[in-house]
Amino acid sequence: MAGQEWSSAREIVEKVRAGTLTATRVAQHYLERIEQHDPHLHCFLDVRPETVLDQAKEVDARVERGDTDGALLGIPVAIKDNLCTTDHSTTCASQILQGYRSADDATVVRRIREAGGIVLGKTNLDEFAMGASTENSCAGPTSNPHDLKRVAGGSSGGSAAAVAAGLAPLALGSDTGGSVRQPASFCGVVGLRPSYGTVSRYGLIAFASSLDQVGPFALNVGDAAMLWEVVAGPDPRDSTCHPLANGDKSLPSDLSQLRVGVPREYHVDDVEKETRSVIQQCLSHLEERGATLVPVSLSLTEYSIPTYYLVVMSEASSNLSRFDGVRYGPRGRGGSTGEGHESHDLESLYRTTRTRFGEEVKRRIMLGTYALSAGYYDAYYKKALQVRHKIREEFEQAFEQADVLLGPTTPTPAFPIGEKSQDPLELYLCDVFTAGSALAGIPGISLPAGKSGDGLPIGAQIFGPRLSDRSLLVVAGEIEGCLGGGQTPVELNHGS
Amino acid sequence: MESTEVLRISRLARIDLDQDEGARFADQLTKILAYFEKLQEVDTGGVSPASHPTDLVAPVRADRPDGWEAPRDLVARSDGHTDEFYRVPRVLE
Repeated sequence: MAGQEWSSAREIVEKVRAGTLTATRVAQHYLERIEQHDPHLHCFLDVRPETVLDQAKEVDARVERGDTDGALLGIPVAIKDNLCTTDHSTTCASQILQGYRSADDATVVRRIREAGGIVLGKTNLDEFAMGASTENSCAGPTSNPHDLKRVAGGSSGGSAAAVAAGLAPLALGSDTGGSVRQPASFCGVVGLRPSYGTVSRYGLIAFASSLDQVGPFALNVGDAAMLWEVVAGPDPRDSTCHPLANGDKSLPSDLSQLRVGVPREYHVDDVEKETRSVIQQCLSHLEERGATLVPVSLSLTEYSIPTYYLVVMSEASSNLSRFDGVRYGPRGRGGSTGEGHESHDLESLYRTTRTRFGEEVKRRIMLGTYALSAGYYDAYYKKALQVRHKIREEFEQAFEQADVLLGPTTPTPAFPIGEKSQDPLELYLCDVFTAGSALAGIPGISLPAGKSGDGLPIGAQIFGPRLSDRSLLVVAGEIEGCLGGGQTPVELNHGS
Repeated sequence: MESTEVLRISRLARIDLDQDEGARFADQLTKILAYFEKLQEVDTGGVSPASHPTDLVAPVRADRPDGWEAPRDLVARSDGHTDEFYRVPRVLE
């Protein structure tokens, strides 16, 4: 890209450390890109240039003193707006959290700062991360940099699009059932969902606690690995982040030693033809490099969507009870606008406060409440947990035959904005290849594998066994090499 | 799902729905729940429910107070406060 003196985030660190580039110069570059392009893309909800430049100057002053420690020295990182940062509001793209300021940074944000990274701004998402298109944001949708009329994917659409368009060299998102991998696939960047329990969720606003994971976006696997190394690891503030869960179960790093499982159910007619052919080409490349392709079966794939949605809706209905006007959210007042007289009792306070939720959030809380209510619990919630157990076992069995599994991240490339917004069920079906692995708690990474005839990115998804994150990233790097290497930012032409 | 059922669930969830939302939700929730029925096809006899993706037991630590610097800062973020105290609406007339 014109005027850019680095081709990767790793190169930024090397140059800042060597004193040939300043963190201020880097920050200015990305702030200018944001100013120029974000009005057309709408990746960011909150950017504070002065705060960004202050952080960059601090890094430069440190380097001048000879202190060049820090794996992310001088790198600006965009942060999904469901992760708490003390110097911005944290809104989850919801009316109910407008103006909310957290008293503490999320652990992942603190670790980025401690590694010399700079918080660049807060990115757009589906409200409370509930969606697959970023259209459920109270601030409006994010556009796909490859085609502004199409969705960026979701729920971490702002983070994915920002990295794809070169508005940030790195970003963090969260993945509950595909919310990092699906937008990464739609926007043509790398996105990792780490193994459950390897990255702290302290300061991540909870949506579905048995599934939520924080993961990185980057233009290449090496940069994604660099950010993952910084944010991963035990955290005494998150008891689900296990002290032994360090993500270093090993896999063969040499492609000629690698058994690549090809799930039959991920290569079916429901997948768009161009997507199937890109994945097929990717498998052929791997075979040419000596990898062994092994057919495997994930026969419960079609049940992963109802299982996943029953689990997330049930957990969300419980997690979001804290938005009641007492613990979180502004006190609701009466009237249709919520601006009327003071609520006269606790019940009406809750109800008037919660009118500020958007429609998809209400729908999920309602369905979750239903699934957990007397008389329905066994038929819906308990049944879903039993199927979840079987899905987990099925992945474990597949990993007895193969080291990694490979298939498409999504059945189609990015769809037009508005196309699926009237039919919630149709949007849920987009998660068919990402929900199952989330239920099983295994790591998954989406890599750009090719493009459709319309120039839309198509992603390949690689799964590894639980806690194989570090070597899955090595394998993904090898596969990326086979596919022609990392990405460069999209050249935007929006007529301005 | 009947609209009376939607109303019952909205009360349980403490969510007010206007008339339009109520009608739309009755229709959408019915369709979504019908799709969820698919799960009944899976034989889960003797399968234990997995409420978590792992069998790891949450670690425990010693119950020792850990210093935190920001209580005033936390209170200051609320709508109403005086020093380190929250201001809440009067409960006694």
